[in-house]
Amino acid sequence: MESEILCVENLSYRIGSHWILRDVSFNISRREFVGIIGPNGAGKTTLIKAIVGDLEDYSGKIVVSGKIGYLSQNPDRKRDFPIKVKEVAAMGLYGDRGILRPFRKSDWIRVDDLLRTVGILDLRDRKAGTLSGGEYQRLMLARALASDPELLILDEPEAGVDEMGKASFYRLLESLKNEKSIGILMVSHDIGMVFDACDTVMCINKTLHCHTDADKITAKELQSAFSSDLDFFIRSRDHFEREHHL
Amino acid sequence: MIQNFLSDIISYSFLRNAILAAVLVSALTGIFSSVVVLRKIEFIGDGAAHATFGGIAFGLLLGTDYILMAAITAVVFAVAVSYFTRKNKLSESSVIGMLLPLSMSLGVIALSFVRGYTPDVMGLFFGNILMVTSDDVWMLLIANVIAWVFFAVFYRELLYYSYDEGMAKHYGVPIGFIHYAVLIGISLSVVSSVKIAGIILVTAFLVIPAVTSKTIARSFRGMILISLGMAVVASVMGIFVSYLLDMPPGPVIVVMLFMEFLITISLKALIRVRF
Ligand SMILES: Nc1ncnc2c1ncn2[C@@H]1O[C@H](COP(=O)(O)OP(=O)(O)OP(=O)(O)O)[C@@H](O)[C@H]1O
Ligand SMILES: [Mg+2]
Repeated sequence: MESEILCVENLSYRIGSHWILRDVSFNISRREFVGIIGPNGAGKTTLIKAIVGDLEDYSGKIVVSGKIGYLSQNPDRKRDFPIKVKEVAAMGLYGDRGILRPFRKSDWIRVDDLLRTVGILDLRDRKAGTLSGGEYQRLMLARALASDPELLILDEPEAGVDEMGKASFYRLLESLKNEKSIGILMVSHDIGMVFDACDTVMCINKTLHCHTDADKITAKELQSAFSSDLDFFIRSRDHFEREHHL
Repeated sequence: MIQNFLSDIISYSFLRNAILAAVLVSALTGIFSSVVVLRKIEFIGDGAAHATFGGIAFGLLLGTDYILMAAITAVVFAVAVSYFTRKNKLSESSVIGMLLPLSMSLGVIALSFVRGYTPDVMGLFFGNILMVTSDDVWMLLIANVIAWVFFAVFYRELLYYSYDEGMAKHYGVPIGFIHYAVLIGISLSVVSSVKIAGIILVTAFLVIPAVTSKTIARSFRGMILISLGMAVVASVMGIFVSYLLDMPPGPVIVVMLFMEFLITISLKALIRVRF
């Protein structure tokens, strides 16, 4: 189908005899905002690494038809590294210029626009290592957006971002999706937010337990993915029951 | 004092060559020091220098030009380090720490087969800055030009490679090329400098200037330029002081580098207290 930006077919990955992911298949279309949820160690980051090309030796087929913007989980902060905020953001533009073709004035204007979009323009000349956790996460988002991706992949992007920040974060993603018709794949442990913000939800735990509209998902599907995961029951069941009047 | 020094520089070509060589060695290794420190491969100078021991020993065994063999081993060493770090996800320090004793040992084994006259191979590693020829100066000059052009042309790639290799690769930075080029460049610089400056001074130039500049630099460009300045100033001062007090130049330069470090962090602390 033409509107599909990502097709994953029978993706499996194991380390030794231990299966990390088994037989995962799904499609994502442009203008789809997918939330990926699942307990710690479920294989979410592994799935994303396979999609962005950081994983070797998996079996199955992954077809991405467009540019990827990627925000990884727990990047190495290197706090004392002498690099400016604007230079980190500009890394996202490198692919558009390429080797031996330095950034132009228009690229730096674009960087300013991106930093403004994520709300850290006033920090542009600061050393990136001096940013707070949430500010840094916004910078990571700016970098992921820099190359005008058609598929935005975010691995726990809201980690460390304050509540106000999170709300504007999701609004920003929503408007990006609508204006630029990009697909968004977001891993998050904030299940409440995922149900509020995303169009579809994927529950992953070693395999794909469900991939359906956020408001059609059933408690059973969720429970099968999380099985005995305490975190989910404590933090999110309430919210879930309220949402779905179970 | 200074007049004597200057008139001696004019009249004695060995002193002139020594100063030129010291400045060129310090600039060559100093420019790489930022990448060395930011990538945390401070060990590489020792590694490359000792690795060439193996090459020199094999050169003697085979009767070939040992300088050429040293250069070849340096490249082999750099390629091996790059290969193992990239393919097997080992840290550079681990690989250097394995290859250093390996090549030294191979060198000793090779030397044990050399019949008759065995020159003092280790002596080559202590360098003598007062025995520099104008050929050495020319070679260092060319090496400097290449290194400078490399840094100017690939500034962004070097920055992103040093900062975040994984994401840089994702955004299309040719990480493999930069990785090999940097390690080969450092190894060849070490080989061309060691004979003049000795292992201790070369490893000092590869580490201390960048450690110092990292404490004050606010950008990668600033760090490279400050390191370069620190290295060159220390080498000129060191030669001057060693001339005045009649001391060996190499060790005096190392002391100068360390003093620059102490002065920089003290000034930084003072300024912090004041404001
Ligand atoms: N390099 C590795 N070697 C061994 N096991 C690994 C490796 N990488 C991941 N794993 C294992 O694979 C499983 C899935 O890891 P993954 O990082 O994908 O989880 P996740 O769903 O992203 O979890 P989290 O919510 O904590 O981020 C975990 O059990 C983890 O221990
Ligand atoms: Mg994860």
